[in-house]
Amino acid sequence: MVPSTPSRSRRRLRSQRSRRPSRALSPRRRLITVWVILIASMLGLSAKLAHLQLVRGSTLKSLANAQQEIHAVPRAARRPVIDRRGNVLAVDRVVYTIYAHPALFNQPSKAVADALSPLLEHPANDLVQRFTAQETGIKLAADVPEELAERIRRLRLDGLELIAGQQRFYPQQALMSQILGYINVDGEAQAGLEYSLQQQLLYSEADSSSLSPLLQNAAAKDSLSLQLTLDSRLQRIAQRALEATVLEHGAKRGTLIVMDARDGAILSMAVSPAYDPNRYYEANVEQFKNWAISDLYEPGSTFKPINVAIALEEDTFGPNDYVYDEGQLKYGEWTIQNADYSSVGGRGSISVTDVLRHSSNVGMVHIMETLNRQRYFEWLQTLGLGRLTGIELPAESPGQLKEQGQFVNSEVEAATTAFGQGFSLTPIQLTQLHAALANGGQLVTPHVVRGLVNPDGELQWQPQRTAPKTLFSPETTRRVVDMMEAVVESGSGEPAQVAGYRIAGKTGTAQKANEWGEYGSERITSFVGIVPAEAPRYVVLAVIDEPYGEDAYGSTVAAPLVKTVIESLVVLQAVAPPGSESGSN
Amino acid sequence: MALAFNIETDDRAKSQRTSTLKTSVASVAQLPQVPPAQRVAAAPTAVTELPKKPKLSAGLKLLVGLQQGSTVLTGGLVAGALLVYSWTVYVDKMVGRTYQSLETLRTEAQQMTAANEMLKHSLVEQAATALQFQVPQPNRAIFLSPEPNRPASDDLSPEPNPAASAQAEMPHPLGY
Repeated sequence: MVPSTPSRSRRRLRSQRSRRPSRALSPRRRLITVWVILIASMLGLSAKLAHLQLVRGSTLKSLANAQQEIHAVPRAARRPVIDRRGNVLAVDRVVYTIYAHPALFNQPSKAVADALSPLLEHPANDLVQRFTAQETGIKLAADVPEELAERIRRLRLDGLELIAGQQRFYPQQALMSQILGYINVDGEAQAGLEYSLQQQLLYSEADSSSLSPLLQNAAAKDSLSLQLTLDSRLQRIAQRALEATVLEHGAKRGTLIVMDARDGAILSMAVSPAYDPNRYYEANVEQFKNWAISDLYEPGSTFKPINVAIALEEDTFGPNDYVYDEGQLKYGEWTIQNADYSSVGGRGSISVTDVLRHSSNVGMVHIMETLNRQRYFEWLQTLGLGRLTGIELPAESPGQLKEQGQFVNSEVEAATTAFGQGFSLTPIQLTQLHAALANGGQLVTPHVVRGLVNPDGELQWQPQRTAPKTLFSPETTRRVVDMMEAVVESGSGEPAQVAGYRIAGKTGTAQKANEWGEYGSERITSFVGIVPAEAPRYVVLAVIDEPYGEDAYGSTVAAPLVKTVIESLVVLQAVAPPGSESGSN
Repeated sequence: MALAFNIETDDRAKSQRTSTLKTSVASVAQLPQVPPAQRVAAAPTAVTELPKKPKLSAGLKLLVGLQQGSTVLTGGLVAGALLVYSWTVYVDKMVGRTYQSLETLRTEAQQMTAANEMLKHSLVEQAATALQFQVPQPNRAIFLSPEPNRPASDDLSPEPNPAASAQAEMPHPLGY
């Protein structure tokens, strides 16, 4: 029972001694080993980090960016264009191009063709044949609108690819084509405002800020639209009336411009022939230019009021003075005579008002003879003949005026200029000059663009325009407008009378020069009207080129057209007839 | 250190065990070999204390404090970094989703505008040709000029005069 403690304790001591760790595995050693391992791994990680950041940093960043970018469907490249009242004239829309990859079809080609045939309006056999031509990349249809693309997508056919693209859509079709222009298949603007105002219509490139690509894309598309001064309703009426007139008289072409004389804003510019910009490829190339801006013509008698204004302003002739109208004049080999000389002969002593009323060429020659020819030439240059008017539409032609030496030295040049021939200008420039008569003597800049507006209609940007230049004094223009009113009341402009309104106007029938430089039998007829005569606001010019028939004059062709348009103009613009209690606003 | 007792089933040992409560940490081998009767728990001769925490110098204390503080800080930063990262991922996702819905709305607005305008145009064209729509003419129009703004009137709804209303009463009931 006595425990043998000593032996046990000895054994215990020995075992304790044997359990003491060897030098290699002492705690201190183990600690150091662990520490070394940790430090080494930390250093390794830092080295790897440095390598990734410094050496491969840029590549990795670009990879990440490529991964993070979302290639959104390009929704719109250009701002919409709206008219005076907010009707949309041009807007971008998404269209799809459909490609077929027969290699990826999971149904037989016949089934796919049958499913697609009614939607694409192609016979099914045709489609099956096209599927056999290639394995991938068969273009089935282009410019497919979104609704149709949605229906095709809902078929859930494999092997069809719909690629989105942009297309400019013109809901008003041919109505505004000469002003807006069109966008060709490559997305480039051709003709019209689309071309000349590209800077304002294209959405600006997103500037590289700190925003993510998504937000940049979203921010770049603001909600501004380009507002024009044109009125769709008046344009529609004018276009229909113009086309009816051109058809009725078998004319080559025609134009009708309605301008607000106070600031030069154009309410309507109807040009015939017109084209549908949605299908521009079906039109003649000549139709793409707006001939009211780019083609020159000799104005003829419609320029006479302006000449009278020059003479009155220069004070070489008084409004109550009389001239002697012989009916025919001879300048060397040139003969100048009145249009009705063969029937009426000379009229004798007539007033200036009668000169305009009967559109006497000889009377005008005598009036302008009182002017120094050098001074007359300077006046023509002041009017802006031979220079551009400054309208925003592209391809405007400056008028043509004879050389100063030729004009000043030759009697007959000043004489022909007196009745509106021997020089040329565009219809828009003639409208601008008559607006100077209407608004009290200011030469305003004709324009079709009001500016960029936000959805509330507030103007955010306006195009730069030169300030109006004073040409005549208000008294002079008042007298000339009164004379023009007599033309409509009892002269050649009688067909343009509108019941209840006082209209001032002037007819014009000019001979056109043929290819040999002589005056041929073709005419260009025009009528310019100013309404209302007591407080002028609008100028309406109609020019009909080459109407058919011996009795085709400005009074028979162009004046009735202007009457129709003025009737609608006064209602649409709320010009009350004079003498009514409400008055005009 | 384990206790080493000589466990005996004698009654003597039992009584000893119950009577002694003081334990001795000293190894049994160090106890002198005395007969069991005298093997009583004596007063502990040597009291060994529990190992205390070693006293550190100030520098070491500072280092240890730093180490603990930086551990906490690192833990917090790591948590913060994870939080910020997940938040950026969430924000990106939300931005992407919102952008998609914005684009969808834009497309729909565009489509509606285009369809609306097309409808308007075709309606007008149809009316003009088929129905012989008449253009506006001044002899069929009424011209009104807007009234100038009137100042707010006080007697728009006058107080009903009781006497007058009594007189104005209908003498007989209305038929309907």
